[in-house]
Amino acid sequence: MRNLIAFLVRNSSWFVFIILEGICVFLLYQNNSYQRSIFFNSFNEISGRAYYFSGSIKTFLNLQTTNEELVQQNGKLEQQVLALENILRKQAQDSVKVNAFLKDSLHREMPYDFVVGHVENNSVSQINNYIVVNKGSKDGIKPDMGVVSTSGIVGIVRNVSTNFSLILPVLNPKFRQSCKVKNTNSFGTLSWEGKDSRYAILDELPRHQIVKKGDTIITSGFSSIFPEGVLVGTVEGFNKKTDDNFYNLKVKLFTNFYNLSFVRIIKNDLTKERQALEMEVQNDK
Amino acid sequence: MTNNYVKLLVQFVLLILAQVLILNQVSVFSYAVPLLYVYFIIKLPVNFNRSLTQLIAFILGLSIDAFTNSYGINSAATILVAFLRPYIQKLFFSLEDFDDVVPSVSKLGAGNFYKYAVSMVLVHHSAIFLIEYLSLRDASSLLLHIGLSSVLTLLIVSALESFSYKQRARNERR
Repeated sequence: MRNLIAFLVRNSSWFVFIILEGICVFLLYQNNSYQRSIFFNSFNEISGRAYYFSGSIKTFLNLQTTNEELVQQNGKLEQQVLALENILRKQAQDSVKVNAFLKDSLHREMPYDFVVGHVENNSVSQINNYIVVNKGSKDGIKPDMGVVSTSGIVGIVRNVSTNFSLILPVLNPKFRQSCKVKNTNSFGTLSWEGKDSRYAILDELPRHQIVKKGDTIITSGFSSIFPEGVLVGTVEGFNKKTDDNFYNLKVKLFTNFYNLSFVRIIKNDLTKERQALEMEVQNDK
Repeated sequence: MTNNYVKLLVQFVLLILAQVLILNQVSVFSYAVPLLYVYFIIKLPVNFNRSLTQLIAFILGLSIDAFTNSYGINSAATILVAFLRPYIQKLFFSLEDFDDVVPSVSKLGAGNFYKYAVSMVLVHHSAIFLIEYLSLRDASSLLLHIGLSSVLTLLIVSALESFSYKQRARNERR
């Protein structure tokens, strides 16, 4: 005890100093708003950092449980996805139909009707590719009808049996279709050069037309097979021949022929009438 | 002895009045404010009771604060300087040699006294303006405040010293 008192007396100036400075700091804090705000802000900063630190430690310790929860949730979501995909597959056929009708709802009354078919057989890597669809003459399919997918042009019906029809897709050297660059009136012929199933060639496009890379190619509507404005693809590159007055465009097709599953077959009520008229003119020659 | 205390008390009151009534109104270049009241702590006898020095410093600072309405700023700085006083003195002269001597030019010699006074004033002023700013965001104006105010305070201190020095010399001649 005596030692303690001696210690206190010997170092009394330190204690007095600390106590008095403590009083001063208290007074400072109590009476000066500027100093108080600075104290307050720095204490806020310190406490904020402390909370942040403890929070990050807590998060780290909880990683195990969080992980388990996430795995469980992931499993649940995967199950949900599978269930939804099932429903989606069931309803896909209907939705294709709906899309087909919605697309031209603002347009003039369409003489076109659609039949939705499922692709039964499909080839993309041969020279002469064909697609088999599970709709035939029973469903009103006739040769020379246009076939499109939800993303773009597919081909033309070539042969029809009672329950099936054979489609001549773009990916066949025999395929020809009149197409044009969107928002212009100059048209060319779409064909396939037999190499890459992602690209087709648009030939005979007049050279005075300004065409940029990325321009959209659509059907021209000059043949009765496809209505005007069916999406075909985008311009990927030029192939300008110096001795030629025409462009030779490389077109990236919108339709992905690799995973084609549903197609719409376009029925045109007026095809026959129009073809008959054209035949008449030709016969007159 | 009593006479000494009365003298100290009179000095104390006079310094506070001079500080709050005159010197606080001075503001040279809008930076230099003389804070002369620390002169009282400088002039306390060597080896004066340390705790008592701090207590006096507290009362002194608090009285100045009461007039300037800045509670804590002056008192904190003055207590600090009172606390550091023996250590600063030890830097420049031996405490034993000048036991119970009132520091002055005549007693300590001009060099020792001014080294001691300059250190005390610088510590005190730095503490005050640091507490007032409480940040180093405006460091240049903080340094200007400290430097110019210290110069001004030291000018007044040296004026008072030379005055008392001359007076003492005259008394001795008599």
